[in-house]
Amino acid sequence: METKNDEILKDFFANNKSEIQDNGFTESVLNQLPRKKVKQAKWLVPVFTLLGIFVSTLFIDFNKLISEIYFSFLQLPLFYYVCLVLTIPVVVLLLFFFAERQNKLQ
Amino acid sequence: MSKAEDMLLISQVVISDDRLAFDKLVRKYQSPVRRFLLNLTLGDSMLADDLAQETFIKAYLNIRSFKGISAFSTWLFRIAYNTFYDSMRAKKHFEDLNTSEIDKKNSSEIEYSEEKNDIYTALKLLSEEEKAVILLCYMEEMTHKEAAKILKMPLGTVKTHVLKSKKKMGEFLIKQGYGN
Repeated sequence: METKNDEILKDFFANNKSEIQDNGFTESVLNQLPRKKVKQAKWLVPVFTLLGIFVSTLFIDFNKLISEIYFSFLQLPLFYYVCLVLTIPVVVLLLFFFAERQNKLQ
Repeated sequence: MSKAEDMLLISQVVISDDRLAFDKLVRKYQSPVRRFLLNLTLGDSMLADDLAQETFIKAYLNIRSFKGISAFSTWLFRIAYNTFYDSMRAKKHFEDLNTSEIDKKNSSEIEYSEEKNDIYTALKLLSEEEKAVILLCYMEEMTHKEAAKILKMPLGTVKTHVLKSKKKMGEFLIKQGYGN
């Protein structure tokens, strides 16, 4: 009896086993997947910035540096300043554009 | 796609969050997982698809916890069964499942033949655990050991469920004229 039941069940399930077509199921799953945050070593940036500042203080004569920067700025023609002022928004815009693109890609 | 290919795809998902690799895994396993859930829900295709989606999302989020000791399908079916079990427990759906109403409301994608009705009527004779065991062992052609892993049951319990289910379903199917 048990063997007969076994055979009946095997046949029955084999006859009722059908492949389910994808019909957009996979796409729907992929669209619902949350964005995973890629772990970045963000701590590296401030640490190395501070380290760089510290190392540079050991080698640079700041009084001399500041006075040189001051005098060099005084000697620059006005045209240079105008260019600098115009460049800032362009650079900011480019940085914004690349940051947005990076966000979309992630 | 072999187990080695599965492992390669899984490692791509783990290391670089490769969605194309995960897409391939979903395409490969969507049919058996959806079929298993469809039968567990006695033909409620909408609920089964919702649970299947939840299963794959959970798999994606927890893919790092897959150690590769068992097959990926075993791991996936385990998530699917847990998702089904949680859902049923939350909604107290066990008592409310009415095959004939579900057939009418939610079975747009499935053509219901007499045999389909018979399978859901026969499955209704079984307890939830027996149903899961019989579907894994007969419909998905898994071994008793694999079913035990998926359902986190002792092997002996699985074998007992198989015997009981075979008796209940066998008697019903013979009455319906199968096996003549």
